[in-house]
Amino acid sequence: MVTRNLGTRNGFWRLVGRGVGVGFLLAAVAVYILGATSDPRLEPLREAALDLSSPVTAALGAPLRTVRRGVADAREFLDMAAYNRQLREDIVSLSRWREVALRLEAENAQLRALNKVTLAPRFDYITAQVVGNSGGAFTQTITINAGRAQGVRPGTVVMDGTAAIGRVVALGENAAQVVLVTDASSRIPVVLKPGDIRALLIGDNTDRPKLQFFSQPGQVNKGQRVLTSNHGGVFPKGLPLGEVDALVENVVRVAPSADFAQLEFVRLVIERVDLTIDSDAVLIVRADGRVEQERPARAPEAAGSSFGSEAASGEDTDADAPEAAE
Amino acid sequence: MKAFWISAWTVFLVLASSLAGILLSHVALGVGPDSTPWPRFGVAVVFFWLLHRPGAMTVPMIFAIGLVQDLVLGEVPGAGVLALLATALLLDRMFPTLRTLPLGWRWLGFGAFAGMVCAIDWTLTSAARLAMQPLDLVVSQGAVTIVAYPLVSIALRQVLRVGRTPRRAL
Repeated sequence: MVTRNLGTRNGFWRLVGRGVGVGFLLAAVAVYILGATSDPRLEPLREAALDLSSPVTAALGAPLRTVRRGVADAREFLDMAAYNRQLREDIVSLSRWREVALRLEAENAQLRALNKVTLAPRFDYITAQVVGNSGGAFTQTITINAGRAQGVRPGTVVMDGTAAIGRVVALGENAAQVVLVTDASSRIPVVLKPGDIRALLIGDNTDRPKLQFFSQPGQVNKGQRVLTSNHGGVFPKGLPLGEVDALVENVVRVAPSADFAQLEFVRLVIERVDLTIDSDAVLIVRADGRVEQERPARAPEAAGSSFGSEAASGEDTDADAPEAAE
Repeated sequence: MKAFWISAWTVFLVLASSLAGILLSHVALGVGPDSTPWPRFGVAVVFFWLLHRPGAMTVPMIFAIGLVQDLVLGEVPGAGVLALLATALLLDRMFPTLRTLPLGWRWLGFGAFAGMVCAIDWTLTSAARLAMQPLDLVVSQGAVTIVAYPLVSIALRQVLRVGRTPRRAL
C-alpha cells in the first residue's frame, strides 16, 4: 500500500512509484551511514531540528510538568514532618561544612597570592531549563533552552546543582543537546578520592555508569568520591560526578550525585580566560563567602612592576574551580 | 478542486499529528535511565495513518517523519527512518485486512508493527555504535508504546474527526 499509493493507475506510474520507494529507501540507507559515521554534514539538519523543536516541546511540556510538579508537591506535603526533620539535620551538618570551606578557601587564596600562582581557568555559569529528553531507549540526552546565542559552545560542561551531568554535543542558536554521563557513548576521565586513582567513567544507558582502566586496580573502595580529572581537556578538573557504589559482576559501578529524576534546571560551565592574582593584594573573605582582592596604595613605579593586575582586579577571584563558587 | 483541498488537508493532518506525536515523546517529564519509559507516539501515529489514510502516508512522508524523529530525539540519524520504512514495506499487505477488523485486532497488529520497528532500530543502533544496546529499555519502551496505542487511536479519531473526512487516496 505504501508504494502502491505512489502510482495506482497503470504500469508506468506503478514503476515510477516503486522507483520513488526504492529511491527513498536508498536515501535512508545513505542517511544511516552518514549518521553512523557522525558525518558533520548532518549537523545543520540537527541544529535546525533543535531550534525548531525546543520551543514547541517547552510549550507542550509545560502543562505536563505542572501536573508532575503538583503530584510531587502533594507527596512532599504528605511526608512533611519527616522532610522537615531531615532538612534541619542537613542544615546543621552543612553549616559546619560551610565554616570549614570558608576557612580553607581563604587560606588557599592567600597561599596562591604569596606564591604568585596563576589560577586555573575561571568559569561563568549560565542557567538553562531542560525542555526535552531523548525520548528514546538508545540515548540518554536532554535538550536545554540555551544555545550559541547565550555563549554555549560544543563540549560545554553541564551540571545540576552540584555535580556534572554531561556535556553539550549538538548546538542550535537557542537550544542545545546534552549527552548525559549515563549515555552509552559517554567516556569521562576521572580520579577517585581519596587515593588519587585515575580511571575512565563509561556510561552504558543504566543508572549506574561503570569504571574501567584504573591506574591502581586493587585500591578501589566503596564510597570513594569520583571527580573529573581534566585528562582529555573536555571536563574541568575536580567536578564531582558521584561515588563508587558497588562491585557488580566484577564491574565497579558509580552512583551519580545528580538527581536526574528532578532535573528541571541545569548550569552550564562556561570557561573564561586565565586570571592572575596580584601578589601585593590583600585578600578579603566576605561574609557571603566571596573572596575579593584589595590593592594597597603604592608608588607609581612599584605599581608598574606587578603582573596581571588588570585581569586580577575586582571580584573575579571568587572562584577558581566550579565547586568553589557554591 | 475540492478533492485537491481535501487531499491537502489530509496530508496536513497526517504531518501535523505525526510531528506532534514526535514532540510529545520529546517532552522532558523524566530524565535519565531511572525515568519511566515514555511511549514513542510517532510510531503509533504513523501506524494509525497507514491504517486509516494510507494514501497520505506515503514513502516520502514516512521518510520525512522518521528523519525528524531521529534528529529531534537524538538517535542515530537514519536508524529510525530505516526501521519505519522497512517495517511499513514488510507489513504492507497486513493493512487492508487489518482495516476491516475490530480494535482489538488492530491493536495486535500495532504490537507486531511496533515490535518490528523497535527490533530493527535496536539492530541498526547497535551496529552503528559497534556495541549491543541494552535490550530492557527497548522492550519496556516498546511495551509502553503498545499500551498507549488505543489512546492515540481514540484521540486521533475524536479530536481530528477522522471519520468525517472522505477516505480518499492521493
